[in-house]
Amino acid sequence: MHLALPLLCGLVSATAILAQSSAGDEGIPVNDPLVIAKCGSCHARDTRGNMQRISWERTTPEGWQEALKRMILVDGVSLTPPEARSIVKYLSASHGLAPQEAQPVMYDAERRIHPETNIPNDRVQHACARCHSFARSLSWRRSPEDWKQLAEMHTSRYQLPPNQEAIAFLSKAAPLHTPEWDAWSTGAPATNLAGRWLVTASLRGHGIYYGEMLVDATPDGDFTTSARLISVADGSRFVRSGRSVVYAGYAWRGRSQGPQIYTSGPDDALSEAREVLWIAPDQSTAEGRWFWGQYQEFGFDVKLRRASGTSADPTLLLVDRSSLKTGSQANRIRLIGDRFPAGVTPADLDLGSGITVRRVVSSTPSEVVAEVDVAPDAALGKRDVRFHHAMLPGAVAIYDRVDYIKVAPDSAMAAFSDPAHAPGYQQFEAIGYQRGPDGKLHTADDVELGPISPADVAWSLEVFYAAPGNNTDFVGKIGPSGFFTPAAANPSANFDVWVVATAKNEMGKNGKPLVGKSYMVVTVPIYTLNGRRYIRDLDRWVDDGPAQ
Amino acid sequence: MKNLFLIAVLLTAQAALAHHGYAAFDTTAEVTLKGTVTDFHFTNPHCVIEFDVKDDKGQVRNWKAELTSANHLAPKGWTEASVQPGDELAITGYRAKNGAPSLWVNKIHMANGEDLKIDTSN
Repeated sequence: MHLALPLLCGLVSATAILAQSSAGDEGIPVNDPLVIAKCGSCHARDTRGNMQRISWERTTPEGWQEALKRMILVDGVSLTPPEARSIVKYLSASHGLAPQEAQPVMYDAERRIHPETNIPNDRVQHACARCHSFARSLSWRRSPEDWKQLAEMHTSRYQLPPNQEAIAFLSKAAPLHTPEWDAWSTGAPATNLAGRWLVTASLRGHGIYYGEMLVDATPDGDFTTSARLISVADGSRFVRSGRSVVYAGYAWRGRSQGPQIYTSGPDDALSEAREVLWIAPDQSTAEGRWFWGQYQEFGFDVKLRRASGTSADPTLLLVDRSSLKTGSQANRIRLIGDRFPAGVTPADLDLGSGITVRRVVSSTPSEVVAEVDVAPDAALGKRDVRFHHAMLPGAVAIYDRVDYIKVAPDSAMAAFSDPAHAPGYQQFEAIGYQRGPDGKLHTADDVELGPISPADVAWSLEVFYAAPGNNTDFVGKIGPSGFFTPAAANPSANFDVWVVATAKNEMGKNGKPLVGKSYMVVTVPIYTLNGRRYIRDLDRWVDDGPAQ
Repeated sequence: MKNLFLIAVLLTAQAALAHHGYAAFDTTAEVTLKGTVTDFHFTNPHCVIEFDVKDDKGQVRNWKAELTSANHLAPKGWTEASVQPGDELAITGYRAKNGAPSLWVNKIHMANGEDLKIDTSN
């Protein structure tokens, strides 16, 4: 790269190449002329095409983008935006992750709050996940020597003591060479996503949307999209249009928005959103998140399925009810999908033993409405729903009672605003659960019954350590739909708050209404620690030097 | 949990009810309370056990006992089923300075005689 100290960089890189070569890990050559031209002055290239550091690293598009930003901001590299995009695209393909490697850390790119219970111990946690997500570490693959060099950089830059255990763990858990990458880097199919895709998109507080998305390839290899979505809850319809880049054959990164600026609030479903999707290796399905908000707190959970082309077989997308109670009669359910035939009869549907399809109320090519009875002794638990050969696994839960409720998300953050930052909101939902076959609550076999209607839930806030009944307006307010808005005044402090959902109609064994809670921290827009600022918009510390 | 690690290092909290780690608790003296679990939250940034404690006069008061995060406890074998409503236990820890029925947990002794393995860091 074009740096002010090319001689020094050259000396450093030559030393590093010797060290990396002697480590025995074969590098991944770099052959792109732009990368060689822009990066080669510091990252020297050997006769086999290996460039110092770069050839012993692989990562996601976000990883390479972050590395480029660091080179630009810290090391003074000069790149035009098209050059930067080209370099990220090349490196994400040639030095990227296989789809199977990227999938476990997609939550990082999707900007989800995710419990990271996969950190092996406190020492690795301290080394890797005190200042950023563990997923950021596991988004990289490096040779042992390169993990060592990364640790040395952390030691010099952030004054973290060397942690050999973390280096050893990462060298084993995230090695440069893997069978998955060997297979993907040599055998990935051509990226051919153009066509019609079926969409389901769930937006917390709004319910589920479904529809179709038309994808067109552009001459420069990107994709344009037009997604027509319909609300299951109220039938409202809208179109989102967008443009996306696909990195490494599977990593969809784009933007889309509705036809006008949002009007109904910060969680408006028409809001401009970033799109992050993981496309399955066979390019038949994709899933991910379309998100927006000051802290990316709003988002559709999206699933795409390629429409079945010329096949006449129907496709099942979703059932509008996620649970049915034993002994209930004439439950009206909607099966939503594609290519349903004419003349649907009850015999075309199958929800398993104990559930009788009483009649088909109506049918169109995209929707079948039916009435079903559930026997009093129907087996409890998840049921597959079938229409001919199409099947939705575990689409409907049969239950006898709601045993407990949870509030989703179970831990959350919201933020006060200041002149430079919009508020950080949160949308909560109460989810019903039933004990599973083991009869115990809060175990792995418990059955999720789906969201409880907002009309059947009362929401309240409790600030930690405050006396019961205290006014909580100083942290914010939660509305009847579970939408939390932080207080307008920024008190420059953080508050731990219980978000409490009390069921109006579901009682526990003790005769009291079921209650669920989420742990929310309402916090400040900007953190400062030892002179360093944490910019949550960027998800990283911004510093003018090492912390003291 | 992404981002929530920050909470432990924030130094800006001043208000009495703000998130304040150890500062909210009287770390000069431990107390032990025996009670019955009413709820358990296996979550970040802190796991919380809610439990009913009967005082000398027979009055029942619901207490909240805070532990470190689920991210820290999971590698030690904890799950959301580790503590169940109805469990009898004795919790030793630091009381909240402001008199709220809250504890910072140092030790959990179960009715079966076992101590749960915990991490006392904030």
